[in-house]
Amino acid sequence: MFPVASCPRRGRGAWQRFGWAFGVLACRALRPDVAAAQERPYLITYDRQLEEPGNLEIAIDPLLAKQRGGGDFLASAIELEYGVKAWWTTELYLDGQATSGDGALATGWRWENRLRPLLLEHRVNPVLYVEYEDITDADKTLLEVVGHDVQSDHAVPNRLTRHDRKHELEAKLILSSSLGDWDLSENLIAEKNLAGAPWEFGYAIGLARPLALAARPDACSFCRENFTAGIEMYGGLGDADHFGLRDTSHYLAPVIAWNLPGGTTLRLSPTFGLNGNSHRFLLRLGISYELPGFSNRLRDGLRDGPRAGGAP
Amino acid sequence: MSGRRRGLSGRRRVAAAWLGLDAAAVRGLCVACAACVVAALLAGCAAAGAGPGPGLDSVPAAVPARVSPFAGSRDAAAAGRKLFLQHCAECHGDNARGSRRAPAIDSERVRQASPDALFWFLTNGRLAAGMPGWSRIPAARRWQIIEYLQAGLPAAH
Repeated sequence: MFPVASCPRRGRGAWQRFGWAFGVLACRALRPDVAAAQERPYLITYDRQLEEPGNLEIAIDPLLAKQRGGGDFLASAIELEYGVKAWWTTELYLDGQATSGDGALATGWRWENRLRPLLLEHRVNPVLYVEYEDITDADKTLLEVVGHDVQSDHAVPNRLTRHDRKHELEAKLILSSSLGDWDLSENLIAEKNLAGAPWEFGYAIGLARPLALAARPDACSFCRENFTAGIEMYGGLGDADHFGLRDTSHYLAPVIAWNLPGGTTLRLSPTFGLNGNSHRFLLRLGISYELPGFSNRLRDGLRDGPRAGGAP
Repeated sequence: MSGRRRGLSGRRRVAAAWLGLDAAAVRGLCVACAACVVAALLAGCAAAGAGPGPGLDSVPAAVPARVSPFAGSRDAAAAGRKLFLQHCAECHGDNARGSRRAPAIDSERVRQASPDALFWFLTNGRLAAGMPGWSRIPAARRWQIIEYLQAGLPAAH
């Protein structure tokens, strides 16, 4: 079904690199000597959780999509997320995709910032989100669905879309609440193509809860306290000229996250299209690894330089 | 592309040419940066005005009264030790004696503090000073961390 056998050599290289990266991160996941992350389960919706200051998180979020009429694809974003302050997180995305029978290519980059304007917990906690995107029309990561984004956009061959670059500005108002031990988050999205297209709008909603509330005294990997489950729904709301649900696509996605003691989080989300404009089925995966105290270690490494081996 | 760059002023045109960007990209980056600066200023102002003092001094006098569901439980304190190592030790040190990033919390002041105040502080954090809020972990686990800190166990390890 997917392009390992059918796509050009370039596509196989992308698969091999992805396999290597996945393998390295999966091996790191088994090491118990690093702090555990407590990551949100969502793959699309944002909540109020920001990266801890000085920490760096590296993540890969592959998306496997069934395309109506053929041309199934694998799209992925590599994410580098850094906590600048406890109230400010910045993130760089590098996007790419491989399409069955077509080829594989890098499709651009994004730079996002999330800021918490209110520093204490409230019933509803707002987070401001600003992102700049420099991507081509061949981008298929579906990191947000806005305006009149529909599945047929992804049926166009890469050779026709790879040179059409888009410079977009995206803003989100993230609202996040705790309902007992449930997290409820709503994202309102506005995106503007700087070439002059009208503002496009979208939404994402997520609800999630840990499978066990209290922790066990002993160390464990495969226990309920390390799992969080929930559900996401997201889609487009048209644009400034044609606001509404007409010609928009929408998705519903159960999500589950497994926070491993080694600082790695694995996520899985089978996603179902809710109307004829949506992909019938998407499978989203996520693997992230957190490097605690990254900035301090980098500073120490630069100051001390390489150390000679031997006894202390 | 060079035609589109003509719409930019001198320094921006040089930067655009050097980075290989067109006018829309440069404009977008400028708008994104400006939006980030404005948002950061807003958040920074809020940070500057948050709370009356450092650490536990920032806890309001009237915090909601809560009862720990694990009061006196050794199992909860042991689970709290595990959670502390997962979430707190990177900054506060494995034995809660502090580090360059955060102060010691293996102290008489923490042991004598009211559990309500500790719960409030753990939930809200002190973002302006770099302490994240831990509402991301369930309330039961926050109580387990408090049990661990107040049982005087950090000193035992």
